[in-house]
Amino acid sequence: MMIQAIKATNVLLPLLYGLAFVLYALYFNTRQSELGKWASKLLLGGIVVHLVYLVTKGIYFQYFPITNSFESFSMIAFDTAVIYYIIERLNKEGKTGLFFLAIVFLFQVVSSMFIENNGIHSGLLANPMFGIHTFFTLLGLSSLAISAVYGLMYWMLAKEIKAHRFGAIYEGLPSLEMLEGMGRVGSLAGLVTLGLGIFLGHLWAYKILGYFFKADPKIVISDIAWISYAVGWLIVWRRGLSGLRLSRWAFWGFILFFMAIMVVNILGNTFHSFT
Amino acid sequence: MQNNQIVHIGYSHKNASVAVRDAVSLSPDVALAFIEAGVNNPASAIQEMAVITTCNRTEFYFVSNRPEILKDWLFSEYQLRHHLDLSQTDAVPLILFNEDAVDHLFAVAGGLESMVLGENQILSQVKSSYDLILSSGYQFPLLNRLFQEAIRAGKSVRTNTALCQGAVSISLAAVELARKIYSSFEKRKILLVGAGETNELVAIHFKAIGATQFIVANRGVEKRQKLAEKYAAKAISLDHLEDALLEADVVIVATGSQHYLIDFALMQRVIKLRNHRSLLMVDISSPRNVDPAVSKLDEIFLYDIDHLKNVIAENLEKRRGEIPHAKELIATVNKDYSTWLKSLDVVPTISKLAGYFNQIRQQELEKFVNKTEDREFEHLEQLSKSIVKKLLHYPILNLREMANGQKLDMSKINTIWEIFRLFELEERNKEDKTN
Repeated sequence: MMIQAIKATNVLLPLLYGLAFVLYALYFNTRQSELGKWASKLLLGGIVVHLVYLVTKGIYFQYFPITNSFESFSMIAFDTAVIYYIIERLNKEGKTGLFFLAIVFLFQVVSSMFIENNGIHSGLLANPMFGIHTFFTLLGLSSLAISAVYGLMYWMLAKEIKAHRFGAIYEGLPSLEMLEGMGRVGSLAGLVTLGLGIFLGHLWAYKILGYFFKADPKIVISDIAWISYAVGWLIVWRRGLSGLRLSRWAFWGFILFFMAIMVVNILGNTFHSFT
Repeated sequence: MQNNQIVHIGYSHKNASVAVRDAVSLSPDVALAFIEAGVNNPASAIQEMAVITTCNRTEFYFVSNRPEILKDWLFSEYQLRHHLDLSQTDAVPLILFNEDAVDHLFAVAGGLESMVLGENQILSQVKSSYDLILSSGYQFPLLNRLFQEAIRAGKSVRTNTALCQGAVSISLAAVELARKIYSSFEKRKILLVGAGETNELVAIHFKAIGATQFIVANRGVEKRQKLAEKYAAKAISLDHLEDALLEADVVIVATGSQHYLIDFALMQRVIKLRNHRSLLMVDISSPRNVDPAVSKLDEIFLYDIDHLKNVIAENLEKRRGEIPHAKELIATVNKDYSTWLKSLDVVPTISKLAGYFNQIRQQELEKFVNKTEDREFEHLEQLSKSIVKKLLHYPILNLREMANGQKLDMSKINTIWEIFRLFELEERNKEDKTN
């Protein structure tokens, strides 16, 4: 019965996110506030269903459901949806939903298509501490990605305004100040949750392996990236930086971090791989 | 009542010069005096009356059973009150009847008839006219409902179409641009370089969206202080422009200077000192007062008058594209009003028709009062009622269906009244009541 519900929800989730994406796209194009309200309600519905799905799966299989790539994809979709929804509600601005729901939808579609709900996983990953560490790390990465996307949007809109072009981007996106504010919330959420994820990772390593830090490329890169973000935030906050430069930093900073992780994963010899 | 028609007589930018428009324009008090004069004078045959008066139009809406005399009455009122002989002007008033008049009012409320397509102010002016009807103390059921529906049509057009969106004046276009950069203006500093009419208009629009902090930079002391006082702004001379540029979030330049007041080197310096904070600069001057090279700096969004004119042209084009949609919405409201109006018409007609048939029935029955026994008379009475009921069944049913299906107009109703001489019946009933 429970497994049937898990499988059914696995199909339902992309449908919900897909529909929310369509409504956000219509809202972006027509700017009819009713569409925005419905899109937001549908997204909230999707998040609730997703949460039930993850909890049900965790209870049924007795592990935190982030033990393989496709489960992680679903968690990234969930995290992105949650962070975006919080940003949207805080700023009462839903015109950027289209871009994030596209990401959420894609990740969930791939996850739903290839996930195997058979409960097979490494015993090491059944530890709840691993789950919480991974959950916060993915939440942090999703938040930083959202912040980077806001940086990109700022950049694009600023370019349009400078070039005196008044197309779909100019018409559809909110003001530069709003985009910057939303990006700041994303990066701050990312900094906090990624920091928590990394810290829990070190703590878990200490408990299992007996040392707090290991000179593993993936860990080193993550730690450096987080410290860079934290220093960057401090500089921005102290010097009151804003505008185009900040948006470029948010975008390129994340791209650099992402590329470094990719390179380390592909070329580096890391112990920090469980799949 | 059945001959009543809704009549529009009006002057606007479409049929009258600005001189005529100025001359026929009425203040609310005078408009009310016109209404009182109209409805209190039986010779004018005006049952209901409303006036819309703005800088671009003065329009009169009447409900009257003698529409042919309204123009002369209106001209005589202008002659009497304004000493204005409208027959001597070259402007011919626009006169519309019934559905055309209704359609016109809805289009006016929707902004379709405005000089600047989709202008927003007109809806509040229609609301003012409606308030004037309410405050007059007269019972104007047809116009009351008509103006309510016009306001609904105006709101519907504004909510469901983009007809009234996008700036269509230079000063509003500047404000609209600023709104794409900043989401709120309470803490934003607006630097106005120049203290002329253009910058005053800009200040009005910025104030309307919440801006409270203004700096006025101008060569002339008197002018800059006058404008600064109006907006609680800081007044500075052009010598302190660089300091003001460090603080400002939006700069509007509108002076008569023949050379650049702000050049690339100045802005390069300023941007560094501003920690590369974004800055919107709108140069409305002709010739330009801001060196176009300034736009090479990443953080500066520079617009000149030609850019703004393009914005306006694009917005007007978009508005024009919304006209069919706006007309569809207006047609829907018009249909609702017509249905209501026709349902009003058909009820008294049915009642009069039934009254007419029953009168004949009773007249004929009376011939048998003393000629038949009571029981037989009762049978005759029942028979006559049954016949009348059957005779009236289809006419009444069809009248109702025609009214609901929008197939009934005033001319058809009038024909029914004329065929059955219902006007005479109504007059007789009135006389009976009086006696």
